[in-house]
Amino acid sequence: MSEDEAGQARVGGAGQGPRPLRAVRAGDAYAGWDELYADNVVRIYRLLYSKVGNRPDAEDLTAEVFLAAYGPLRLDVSRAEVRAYLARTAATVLASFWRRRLGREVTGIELEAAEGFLERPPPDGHAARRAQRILAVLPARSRRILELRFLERQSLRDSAQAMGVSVANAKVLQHRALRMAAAVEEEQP
Amino acid sequence: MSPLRRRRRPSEAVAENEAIPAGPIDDDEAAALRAAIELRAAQPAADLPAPEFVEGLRRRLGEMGNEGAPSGIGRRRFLAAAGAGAVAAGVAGVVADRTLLASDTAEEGATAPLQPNDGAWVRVARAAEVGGRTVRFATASMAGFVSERDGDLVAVSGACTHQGCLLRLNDDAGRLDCPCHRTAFDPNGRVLFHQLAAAPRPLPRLQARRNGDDVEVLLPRGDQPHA
Repeated sequence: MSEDEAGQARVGGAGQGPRPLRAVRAGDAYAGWDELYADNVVRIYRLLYSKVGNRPDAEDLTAEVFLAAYGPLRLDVSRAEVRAYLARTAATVLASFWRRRLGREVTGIELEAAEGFLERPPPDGHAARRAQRILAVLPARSRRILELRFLERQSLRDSAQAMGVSVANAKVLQHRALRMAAAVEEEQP
Repeated sequence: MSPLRRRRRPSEAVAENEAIPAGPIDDDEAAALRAAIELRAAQPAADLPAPEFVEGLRRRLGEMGNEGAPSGIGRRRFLAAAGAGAVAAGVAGVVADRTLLASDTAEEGATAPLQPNDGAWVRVARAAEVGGRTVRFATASMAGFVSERDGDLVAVSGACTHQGCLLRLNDDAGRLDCPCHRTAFDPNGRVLFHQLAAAPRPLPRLQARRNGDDVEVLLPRGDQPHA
C-alpha cells in the first residue's frame, strides 16, 4: 500500500523514433496480416467446426485455409473481399477433405451463407436452440442419449450408466437417435 | 487400434470431439454423422478454437512469410517480432511490418504505457504471488492484471478495449476473457481472439516495478487497492 514518497512517477525514458510512414488504402482494408489473421481465425474455425464437428479436423482445415489463402490474398482489398476469398477457400478445402476422408461430401459450404457467417458469426446459443428444436420431437430415450452425449459432454460409459443400459446398447441407441435426428433435420431445415 | 477391431463410426468420433476416421460410409452413417456434427456445434463455446492453436498457426504463417512468401502480389511479409524488449517481454510470434502496416491505435496501445498525470507507485501484489502467474488487482480507478514472464513484470489494464467490460482471469487457459463478447487477451495485453467487426486494440500497459517483496504499479495518486 506504500506510495512512492517522492512521488517520482516518471516514464522510463526510452525515446520513440519518428512516426513511420503509413500506406493509405481505401476503405476498411486490414492494417496488416496480423490483423487479418486475428480478425478471421475464429470465424473460419467456427465455420469449419460447424461442418466437421470435431476439434482436430477443424484445426487442420483452418490451418489449410490460411496456408492456402496467404499466397494469393492481397492486403489492399476490403474486408468483405477477404472474407469472400476465405469462404471460397474454405469451401474447396472442406470438399477435398470429405472426398479424401470418406469418399463423399457429408457437409458443404454454400458461399453466400458462409460469407454471411463470416461477416456476422451467429451468436452463442443459436445452434443450441436449433438442436433443442430437433431433440424436442424425438422419443424420450433417443432425446436423452443425445442430450447426455452431445449437450452434457458425458462419456459413452457414463451415459450408458445414467440410462441403465450397457455401453453396447448405448452405442446402438445413440446411432439410431442420430439417424432420427437427421430425418427431423431434413424436415425442418 | 487392432486391425481386428471394427472401425469406429465417424458419428461416434464426432461425439467424442475426435477426428473422423477415414474409410467409406453408407447413407445411414452419413445421415447420423451429419446430425452428430450439427449437435456437436450446439454445445456452448464448443466451436471456439484453443488459444494454443490460434497462436501456433499465427507463428506458422509468420515463418512462411519470412521464408518463401510469393512476391509481386502485394503481400507484406510478417516480420519476426524485432527488438530484445519484445522478446524479453515474451511477446511471441509475429508482428506486422511496422514501417507500412501497423495502425496508429494498435501500435500506441501496445507500446505506450499508461502514465497518469499525477501518478504514484502503489503496491498491488507480493512478488512471490506473481512468479509465473497472473494476479488481478483493483483500485478505485483501475482494474488490472500483473504477471511475471522470464523475470519481466508486465501489468495491463483489466478493461476490455471493446466496450470496457472488466476482464476475467482465465487461469487454466492463461488468458483474460471478456465476459461480454467472445474476446480474449493474453497477459501481455495482446488480442488472442475476438468476434467483433474490427479487432479491438491491445490492452494498455501499466508501468510495474518490483520494490523489495512488493510489486508496484504506477497508478493515479491516492489509489489504494481493494482488499
